[in-house]
Amino acid sequence: MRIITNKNILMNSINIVQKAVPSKTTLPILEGILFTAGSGKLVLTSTDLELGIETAIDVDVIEAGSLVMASNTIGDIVRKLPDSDVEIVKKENFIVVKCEGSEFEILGLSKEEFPELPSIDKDNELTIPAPTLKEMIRQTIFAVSNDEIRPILTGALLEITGEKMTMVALDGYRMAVKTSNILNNKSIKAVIPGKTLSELGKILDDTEGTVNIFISKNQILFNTGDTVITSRLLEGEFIDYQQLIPGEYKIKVKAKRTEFLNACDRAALFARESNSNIRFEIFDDIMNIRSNSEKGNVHEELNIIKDGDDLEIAFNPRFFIEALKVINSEEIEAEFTTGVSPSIIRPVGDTDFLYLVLPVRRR
Amino acid sequence: MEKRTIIHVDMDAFFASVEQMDNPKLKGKPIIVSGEGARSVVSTCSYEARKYGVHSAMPSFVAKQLCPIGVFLPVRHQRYSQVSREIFDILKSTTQIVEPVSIDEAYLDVSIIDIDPAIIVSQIKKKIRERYDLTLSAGVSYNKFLAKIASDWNKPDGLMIITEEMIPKILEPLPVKKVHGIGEKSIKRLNDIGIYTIKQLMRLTEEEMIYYFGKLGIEIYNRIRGIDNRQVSTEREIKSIGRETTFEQDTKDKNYLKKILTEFALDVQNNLKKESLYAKTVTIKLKTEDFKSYTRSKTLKEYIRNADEIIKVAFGILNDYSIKKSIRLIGLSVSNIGKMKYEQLTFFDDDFKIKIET
Repeated sequence: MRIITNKNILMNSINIVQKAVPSKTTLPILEGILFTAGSGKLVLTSTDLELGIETAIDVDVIEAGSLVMASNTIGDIVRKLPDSDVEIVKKENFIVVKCEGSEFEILGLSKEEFPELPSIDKDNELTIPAPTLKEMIRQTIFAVSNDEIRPILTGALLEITGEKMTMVALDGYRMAVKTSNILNNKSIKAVIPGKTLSELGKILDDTEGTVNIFISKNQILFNTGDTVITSRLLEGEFIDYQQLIPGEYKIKVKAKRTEFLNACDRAALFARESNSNIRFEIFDDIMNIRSNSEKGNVHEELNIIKDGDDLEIAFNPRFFIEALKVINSEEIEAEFTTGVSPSIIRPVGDTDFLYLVLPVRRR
Repeated sequence: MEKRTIIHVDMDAFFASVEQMDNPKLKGKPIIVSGEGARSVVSTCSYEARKYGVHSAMPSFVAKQLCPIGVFLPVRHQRYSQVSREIFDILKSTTQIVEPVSIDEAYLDVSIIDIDPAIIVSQIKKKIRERYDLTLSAGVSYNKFLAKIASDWNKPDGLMIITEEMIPKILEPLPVKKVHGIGEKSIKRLNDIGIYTIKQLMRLTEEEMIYYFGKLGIEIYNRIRGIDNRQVSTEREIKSIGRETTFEQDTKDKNYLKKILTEFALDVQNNLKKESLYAKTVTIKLKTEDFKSYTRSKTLKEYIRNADEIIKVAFGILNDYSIKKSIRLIGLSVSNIGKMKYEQLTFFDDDFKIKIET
């Protein structure tokens, strides 16, 4: 194999595939990136056996072929190369990387050992704009659980019914639900691992492009044109999230999102310990946000528009802050019932996002 | 339940003895430590004062009438606390399982110490005497209730051991006021129906006990029959909670092991709840037929305490273990224990009634 390409283009594609290279593995070949050259393209492939990424770039292919290099090694080398043409050539026992006056000889890994990415049934296909999918991930990914006690919750539910596509993440304490309209007539339910979505979110373009998605029984494939991401799906039934959403509420509070977010952020300064919380005292058109700790006390006064009774309720501040950060609207509405029942946050004027959060019971 | 050895230690006339120790001129004199003011009561009095009929909680003016030559002294809490701390250090050098009851009283669980409890007591007494001119009375038995009865047997500087064979005979003649938990009002009500001794109290059925003592009734019913499962709880710092068992027959059956773990997890959950504690680490211990031990732990980010959560982690650890040799012992414990002042509600709380398959 022998190719010539630009340093920056190469670095960019290495960055993409490195997202699937495992940091710890018992299978050393997985620490490598497979480079395959042919018909004007260089394809880089990586996998941790659960998540696989393949990305293609246009290069000058002088001689077709393939090789595997340790991800760290080639990543470190290319990163430090000058912004110029890079040539990669396979020699008998090693690989040569050349750029201007630099020349590296590195040992390759055995390409025969590199696992093939799983092939996926192309039956269930749908196409959606990349920015839409990226936004759906951004607005839900933070609520994915990282607790292995309930493995199904380490993924997010992708549910497609009619022309609605919904992504749901919940970790037991809060739940984020994001819906988008798509052109489709399929009915699909799949639970995608949080890591897959997180890496996909970084790769997707936030302004343009489309993504083709193929879903089989236990695999999902995202194709952005240049990059293909395959991932295993989580097995098992996701929680029936609809039943978690309370049908009614007693108190509704309307507030400016940024003001609310900043007040929570400051109140959280004294609520850093894992079990700490901030307290909302909602009365008339004021919300007092308080936090008490050994370090000191915070009091934030927030102007609100309230409909309903007064209420005192406490939350893990992080659960509020994370939701307020991903909402785009200028104002938000929060619904409460009692100090120990779930609260719902919605962007004003946007029915496509819902966040449900459980309070902290103080005792 | 395993047979336990519990020691109850009670410092003799603690405040008064500290005063006599600090001021040897007071030795042999009736010392009455009491609050100041007309309505004050006696905190502690020396044995010399008790001969005059003075006892603690008695109004000071009554004490003065009974014992006009008594030396009345104010309470010096700081000094007593300081002495108490050193005495507790001595107790803790005997066993870690020390439950402070008050400034001058504690339970010790010495079940795992392979020394005659009478010798343990004499060692404690000796250590205290080397440091302070103070004595204590100790009671030894197989539960807390009986140990406390025993420490009261022959004060001061006493030692009494109540063994299983002595039950119920030894308790029968005791007045009902010796039963910890029976207050003055109850004693009067019992006396009114002709019950003065424990023997007479034992004639009451469980229902009648609940009638007289409310919830505590069942416990008193059991205790006077020599049954008291209360643990000696160190409270201040419980490092781990767990259970283990050695099988009658070694096993390779993972399902059986899971059944045992489930039972243990429930037990651990109940213990955590009783102490209002949570844990972050779950540990499984296995011993194989060739006596090799295998211990694996998993530490979580969040505190847990419900059995289903403990089970989940425990099964995860067990599933990673491949059974080659038969297992003779299995243990489950939780550690990294702490208190949660605030409880984050979850969708898995009973209120939400969500059953999920994972």
